[in-house]
Amino acid sequence: MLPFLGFLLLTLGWGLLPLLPAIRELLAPQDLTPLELTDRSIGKISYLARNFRQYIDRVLPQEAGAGDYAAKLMDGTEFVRVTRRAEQLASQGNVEPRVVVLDAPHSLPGDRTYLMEVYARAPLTSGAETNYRAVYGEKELTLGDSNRVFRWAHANGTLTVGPHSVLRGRISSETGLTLGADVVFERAGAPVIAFGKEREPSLPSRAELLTWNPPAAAQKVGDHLRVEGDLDIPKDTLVPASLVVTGRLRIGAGSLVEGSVKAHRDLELSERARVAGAAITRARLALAEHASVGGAALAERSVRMGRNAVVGGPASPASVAGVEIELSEGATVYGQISARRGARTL
Amino acid sequence: MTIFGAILLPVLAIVAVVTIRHYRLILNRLFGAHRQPYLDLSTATWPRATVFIPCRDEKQIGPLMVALLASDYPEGLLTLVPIVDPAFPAAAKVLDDYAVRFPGKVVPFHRARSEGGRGGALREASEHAPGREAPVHLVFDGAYRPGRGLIKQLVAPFFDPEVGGAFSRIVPATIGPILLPRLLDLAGSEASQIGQQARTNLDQTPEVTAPVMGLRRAALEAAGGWSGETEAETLELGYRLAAGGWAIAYQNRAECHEVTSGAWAAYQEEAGRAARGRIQALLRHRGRAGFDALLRLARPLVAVVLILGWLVALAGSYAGDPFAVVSLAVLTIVLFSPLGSLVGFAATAAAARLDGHRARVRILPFQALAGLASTWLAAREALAQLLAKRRKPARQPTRAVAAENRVA
Repeated sequence: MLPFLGFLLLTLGWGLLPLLPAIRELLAPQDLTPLELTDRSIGKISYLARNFRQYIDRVLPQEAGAGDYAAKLMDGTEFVRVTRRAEQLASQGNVEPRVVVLDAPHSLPGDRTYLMEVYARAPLTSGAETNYRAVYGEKELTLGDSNRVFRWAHANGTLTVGPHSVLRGRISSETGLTLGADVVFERAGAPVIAFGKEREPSLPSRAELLTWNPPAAAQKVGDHLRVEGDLDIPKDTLVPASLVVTGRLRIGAGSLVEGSVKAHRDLELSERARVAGAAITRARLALAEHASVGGAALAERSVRMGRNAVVGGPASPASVAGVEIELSEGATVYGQISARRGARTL
Repeated sequence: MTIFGAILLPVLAIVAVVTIRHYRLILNRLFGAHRQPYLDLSTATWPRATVFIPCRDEKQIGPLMVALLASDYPEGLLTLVPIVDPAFPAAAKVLDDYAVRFPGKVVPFHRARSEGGRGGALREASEHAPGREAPVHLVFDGAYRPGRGLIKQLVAPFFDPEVGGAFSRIVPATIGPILLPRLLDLAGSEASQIGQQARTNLDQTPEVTAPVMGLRRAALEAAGGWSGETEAETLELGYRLAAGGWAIAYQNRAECHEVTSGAWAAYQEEAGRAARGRIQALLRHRGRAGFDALLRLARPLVAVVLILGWLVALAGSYAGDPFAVVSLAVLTIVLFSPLGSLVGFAATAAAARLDGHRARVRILPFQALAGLASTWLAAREALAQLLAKRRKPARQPTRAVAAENRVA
């Protein structure tokens, strides 16, 4: 009997061996934390900048000893505070390893690298070839030619970015963001974002347009028309509906779609064409010169905004999103731009 | 071929189809490109939206109202319409208090009679309640706790004119140390990370399985509104929307917490309701749903087939039928194996990896128990539903519960 029981126990033990981690986790759980909800405020472009601003307010309030000196914050972080003598910054090898707090307006010399955050309480201008980990401007912030930002940049005033700059992470302004030529960035948010001079959407005159006759195969689905295959809307045409097109959609010059449009393939807006609602495509979205979209402009592949093309409006913020986004001169977005692989001005 | 072979061959074929289909989803999710087209849409001119909340439990409704009132949706554009059931006066009192404290924002809709379960309540409210004219309708059941940004995330897909319905990922709010809620947590990860997201990637219609969703009002009206004749009203409505040419958007990065008791009885009721709802939807949509949709709706019937397969294979192996012996081995592997099966070990492991879970995935072998239980429950409810054909929604309050509430 005993040998049998022994063999049975051995067999059972052998069988349970692979289940040991499972039994251990069952009896002494190590991982019972539920999945946390993604805090969507993290998704706000200015989230990191706002956090930094709160941190600075907490550890170094404005009224606490202005002047030119270096010290340590309460958490041990080294900082340098500058009111007049900006030459003390990046004095060794053009690299500044401390947090920088600027209390007065400054124009920083170029070819410098700031390894920690820069916080400017007054207007700040940086020279060419400046590298920032992150920079916050309470007033206007002007980045010179070929500047680089690695995490975020935010200004409460206008944020102006010089040509050939590379802005990783989040770029935002409470007032407006003006981009120079050949600027590369990932996410930008501001009441108005413009490559060069900002534009307002040009609205075709409804009275001068011919009313569109939908193709016979168009099918009414709820509040929109569904068209199977490709669709070309002639120029100077009024489309008083929302459209879903299962192929490619081309909207002719000067035409106006009063609703929203969705194309399963490429979506093209010719010169001065306007979609009053959203323009959404499973492929590429191209806005020609002076074309405009009143609502969201989303593409699952790329977005190309031609000269003076506009998305959103001063009273109607909107998002532009795509894998890659290109902006021509005068292209203006009232709201937010998100490009997973990067956006650039041409 | 013997009688055992004649029965087991189709069983094995069905199991093979389900396994291949499951693997396709797993591989897509692990290695394919992900579609999240509305993820970056966070700045917009937001439309008016009305949240309909079917209410029964006054203990649940308070935390949900607090969560909804904390939403970052623009002030003045969101109306909360709790649907007050006459059988639950305690909940009605709580909601009337909210209406006084938040005038214009919380507008309870008092039903005259309790009919048609949750679907019936939603149908009545979406047709008659204040706020019904909003272009976007949202639905939250009492057991759910949305985060601050969830309303925006559920509304964002409706800028796409093709989208008729949108829904978020559901995650448990708490996970107790007992086995069942932990297994359900893993199963939920699998359903969201693999099932729903992979279907979105593959252009298949994701399934709205939880009573949390957004709807375009025009789509709801075009599809004929809510149905009070099914126990899985969001699932059934999702299939009707898809059949009408509307897209259903799944927002994998928009999570909503669910409060579950973790008790076996509650799980049994929920699993039974889901199985019956599937069969009801299958009977209604069998003529127009595609192959993949039919396979998903017929999941409870696949459970019946699987149990039949096990029994026949067992009997055949005792009778000395060689095919039955092989089949028994195959079906045993299907039950307990990382090869992929109804139990979905491979899918669950992949989902746990995608969610970044480490230690909790160690309890994966115990999922065989959950698989057995859910297979039995699904098969039992499927057969009962098929035999009964029509059955009143289980969510209807029983007389005892209603009387208890009146006393309270």
